[in-house]
Amino acid sequence: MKKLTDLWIGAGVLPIAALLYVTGLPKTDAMETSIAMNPAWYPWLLLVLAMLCGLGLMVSALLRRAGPSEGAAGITAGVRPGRMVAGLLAICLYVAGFWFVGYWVATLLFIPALSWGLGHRKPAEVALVTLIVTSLVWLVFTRLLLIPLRDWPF
Amino acid sequence: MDSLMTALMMLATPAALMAVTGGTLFGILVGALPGLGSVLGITVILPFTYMLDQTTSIALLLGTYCGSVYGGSISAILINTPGTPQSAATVLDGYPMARSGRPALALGWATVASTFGGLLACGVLIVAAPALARFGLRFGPIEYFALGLFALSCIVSVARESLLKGVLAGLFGLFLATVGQDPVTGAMRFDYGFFELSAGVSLVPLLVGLFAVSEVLWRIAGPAEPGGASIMKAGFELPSLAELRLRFWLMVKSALIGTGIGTLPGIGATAASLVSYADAKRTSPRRDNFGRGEPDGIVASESANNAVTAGALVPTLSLGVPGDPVTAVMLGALTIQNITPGPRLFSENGDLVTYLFLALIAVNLAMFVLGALLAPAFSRLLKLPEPLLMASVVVLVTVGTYSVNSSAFDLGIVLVAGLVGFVLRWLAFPLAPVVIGFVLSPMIEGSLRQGMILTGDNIWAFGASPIAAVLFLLTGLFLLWPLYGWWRGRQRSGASAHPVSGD
Repeated sequence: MKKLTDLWIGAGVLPIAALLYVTGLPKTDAMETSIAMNPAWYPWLLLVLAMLCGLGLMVSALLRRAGPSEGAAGITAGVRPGRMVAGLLAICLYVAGFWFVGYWVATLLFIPALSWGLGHRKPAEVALVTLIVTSLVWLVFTRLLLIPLRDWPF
Repeated sequence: MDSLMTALMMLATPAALMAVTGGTLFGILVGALPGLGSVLGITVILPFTYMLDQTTSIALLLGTYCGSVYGGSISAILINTPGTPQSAATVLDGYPMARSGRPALALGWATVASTFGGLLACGVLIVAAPALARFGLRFGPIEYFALGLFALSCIVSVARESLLKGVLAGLFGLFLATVGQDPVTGAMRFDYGFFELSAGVSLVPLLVGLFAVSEVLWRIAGPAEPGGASIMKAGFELPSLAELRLRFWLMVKSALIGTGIGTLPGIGATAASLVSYADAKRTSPRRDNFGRGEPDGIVASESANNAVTAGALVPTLSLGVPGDPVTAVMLGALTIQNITPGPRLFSENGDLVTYLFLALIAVNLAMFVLGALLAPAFSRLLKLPEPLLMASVVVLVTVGTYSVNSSAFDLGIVLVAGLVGFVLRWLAFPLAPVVIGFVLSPMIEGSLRQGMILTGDNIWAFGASPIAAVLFLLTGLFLLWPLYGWWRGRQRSGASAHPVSGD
């Protein structure tokens, strides 16, 4: 498992670094003059080093002997990708809600929804914490730090 | 003397005192809640520093940093779970002491040792930082380039899973900082037509996403942890004078271990507390009681981990090189406040440096008072359900990031960085080199290019500087040492797998 993961990571680094080099750097006349005046030189150096590390990961994965510890590392075991996607979606929805429908509506819906989704279903406790957190954050930012939040739909 | 008076007056303002108290309180809370930790605490507080002046920001950051390291001991003692990794060694004797009916005294020992360690390290910082800064005045671009590489290699070399992954994480951080306008020619790099990227990736959304959002995602989707331990009710009891006298030199020794380790980039408070604990266990006259609630164990661990906070500030302030992710974030926050840590800080901003020293002392004293008064209340807060806590963290960091620039693009960076942080954790990449690389990259690139101008594009001439040569040598050793260990391991396993015939 670890061997395969490191192999994939190493194989992934190579095209990503090459793509970044090809697409993200300026083509200037300075490249033919001084190294220090070339804006592409330092990022190029970093990308080449990253590619070497990627190759190193692949080589070390291939050289590694299978042993009893194989599969214990490389990636962290026990991660639940489905929950990660759901969690990220919930956070994305909150950020979008904060932007489009305002702080109050988004926050008053998000805290109970995430708590419910994560298995905490005590309505009174959730309602109390939601109200306290929402009001406290609003008070700190708008009254203490004088920063207007997106209070209501725009 | 004038500088001291000016600094005292800066600290005596209501805003600064509130920041000392508020930051310390917030830090203790973040430290006490298992899994949140110092980096997340500092990251959450970072957006606030945009709205505050220099002195208030410094006090808030220092309070959060020191408070969070101390706060970890509360959950270590009361629920057998270190609130932060720095308090891992405190569990070993703190929890048994609490279980034996003395939780109040265990909290008392942790508070006294933390405060003592923090204050002693402040003394070392006050003496050592200006001396190191004077030495730093000899540094030119070549030496700074070598120093930047050395600091990064220290962080990378302690990557637990794989050195190559540590290096890749560091390169990723260095690379992220190259996005935007080239500082020398003004040419755009990796902006892909986004106007918002022309000024580069902003520090706040990047760190908030990388640490806070990825932490929330990790708590939601990471490996399930064992069910929560029962939470013990506790008061607060100070140790007697006779007991304090008995352990005075242990506190001094542990604080010095913590300060020394803190000044070295990349090693950090967790290692300091474990080294100090191991040393106390070896040398204490009461070593037979270790693991059964011996106060020496709490003293050794807590005195050392809190001393690291001031120790880590020595290279950060005097050379502008952070010792760990927390000081890297602080370095970024200071830069936002137009304070550039480095040798010149001491000569050009003497009052501010003195204020910083005083604020650190005030934070340690506030930590003692707040710990004594509120440790029992913090034990109740440990009962806050994790889903509600995670939701609150998301709200706080979203609003905090928005408040900096009112920018939807920044919120987008938070989400992307959160996902990237999660994937990096999943693939067992360390996050610390990313942030250290990101913070150090402008210095490394700037000094490298200046050095190339000085040497006429001859990178080999960098070795002519004795300071740089020593730093390059150390960097090489730090990076090659794990390879040597790997080679030795292979040799040994090869020898055991193929015994010499005739044996």
